[in-house]
Amino acid sequence: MKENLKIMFAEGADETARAAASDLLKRAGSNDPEIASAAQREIATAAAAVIREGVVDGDIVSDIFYTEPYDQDFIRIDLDLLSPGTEDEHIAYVMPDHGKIPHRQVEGDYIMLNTYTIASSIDCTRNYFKNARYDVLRRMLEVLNGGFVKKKNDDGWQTLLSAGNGRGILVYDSDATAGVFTPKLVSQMKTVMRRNGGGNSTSMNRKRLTDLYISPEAMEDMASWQLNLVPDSVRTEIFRSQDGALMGLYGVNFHDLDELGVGQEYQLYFTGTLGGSMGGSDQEIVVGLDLTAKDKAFIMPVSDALQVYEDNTVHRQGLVSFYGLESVGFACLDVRYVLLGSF
Amino acid sequence: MALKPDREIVLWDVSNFVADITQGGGRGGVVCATGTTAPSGAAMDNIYAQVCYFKTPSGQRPMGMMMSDVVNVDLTRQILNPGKSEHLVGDKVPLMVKGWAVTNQLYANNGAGSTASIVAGASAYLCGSGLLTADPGAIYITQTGTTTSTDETYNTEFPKVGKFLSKADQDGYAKVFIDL
Repeated sequence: MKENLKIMFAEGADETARAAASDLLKRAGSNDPEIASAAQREIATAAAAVIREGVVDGDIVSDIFYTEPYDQDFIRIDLDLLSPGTEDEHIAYVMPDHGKIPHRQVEGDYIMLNTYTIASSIDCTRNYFKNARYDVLRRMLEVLNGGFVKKKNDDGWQTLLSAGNGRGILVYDSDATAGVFTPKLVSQMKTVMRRNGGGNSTSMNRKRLTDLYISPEAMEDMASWQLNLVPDSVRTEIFRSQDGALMGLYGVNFHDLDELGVGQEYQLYFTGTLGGSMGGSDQEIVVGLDLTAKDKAFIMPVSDALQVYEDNTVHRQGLVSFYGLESVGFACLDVRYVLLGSF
Repeated sequence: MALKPDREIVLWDVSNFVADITQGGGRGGVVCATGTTAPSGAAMDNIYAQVCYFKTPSGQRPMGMMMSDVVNVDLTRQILNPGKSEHLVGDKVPLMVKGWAVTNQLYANNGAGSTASIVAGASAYLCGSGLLTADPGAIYITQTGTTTSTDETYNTEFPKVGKFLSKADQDGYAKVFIDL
């Protein structure tokens, strides 16, 4: 009955549905209190909305990690025969008029990447499922799915932060006030990324900074940039923008993450779990990425896509239960695509 | 234990097995023949044709520079690295009997001592665990008679295996010519 009421009251309902809705409204105004009360209860049930709704996290890794399905629980990835830093071992040399050119034997390596299973479940009593005044089923599945999204967010970003920390390079603007995001930090990160990316100015596959992930507070700092940092035209652009901030600078796209910032989840992971240090008295980290070749840098193999099942064994317990399973992995294959900074 | 890509191998020996990696199994060092029973004839697949690194090289018989790694892994759990030249303990290994290569298996990289004496033209000697050194070690005399000029032979503690063609670089690699 609940679903039929929703259909009847929806826009674009057909003649039959509208006729039923009209009848319900008439009964709701009936002189007979019993008929009216019953009809009013039906209308209230169909039109009820839930309040104090929890907000599940959204996906913040799919734009970064290259997802590819695999039918095995592990994949083998070959490394290049030219290891970074050994380019100088293959420079040509002068030869005399005769003599045998010696050999230069190279070899590669490989890594194995395993996927792992993540799971979650959600249950409620059958009474709650029956008597709730909103679509409990849809909401339960939303929450269940949101759990997987959050888990993959955390695992993916912890992989990125670990890779950046392991690289041993952190860029910061020594001239800036600690805790203030400045344009110079962006330009410095671009230069450092280039310097440590291998190759020279005309190399085809050298690394460059394309995207920068910062906190909402860093975005807010842009509104305070004075003329000594940016020209007035840029300040005007900031003031007129919907978010009060630039979407990019020097060819680098900005992305704001709620999980970055003082006391936020990924910031605490960097300083606490990884034991990372920021420059000077800096307060926040920023994460720079090269997203031009995601399949060579950040991969998320999926050996089993998310499957949600209803647990039919709990009916006797008076429960409605769902559970889900997914097998994924995360890897940063080349740390030169990640660069951490701080301000 | 490593080799740089540059090398020129004049003479290969693919006759020998490595069954003991107690003193190491990495490439770039000089291995010696093992066992009291020597292989005979062509010995291309002879079980007595074995080599390994020795802790003390005095009196040993150098056979060549090992050009691959020897590892001891459980093949039911993992595979040999397909990207590298790697062999399982008990397998045949390629040896460079004559030629030059750039190796970091120099005495001092793996312990006390200095590689300052390793220069182009200096003789190369085999010391412990397959490492190469410019130090001949102790010099001793073996005497077969009483005539000094004909019955005495001067020997070095460390067998001579070739000569160095360069000194060690900042990463500890030097070019060495092996001639066995």
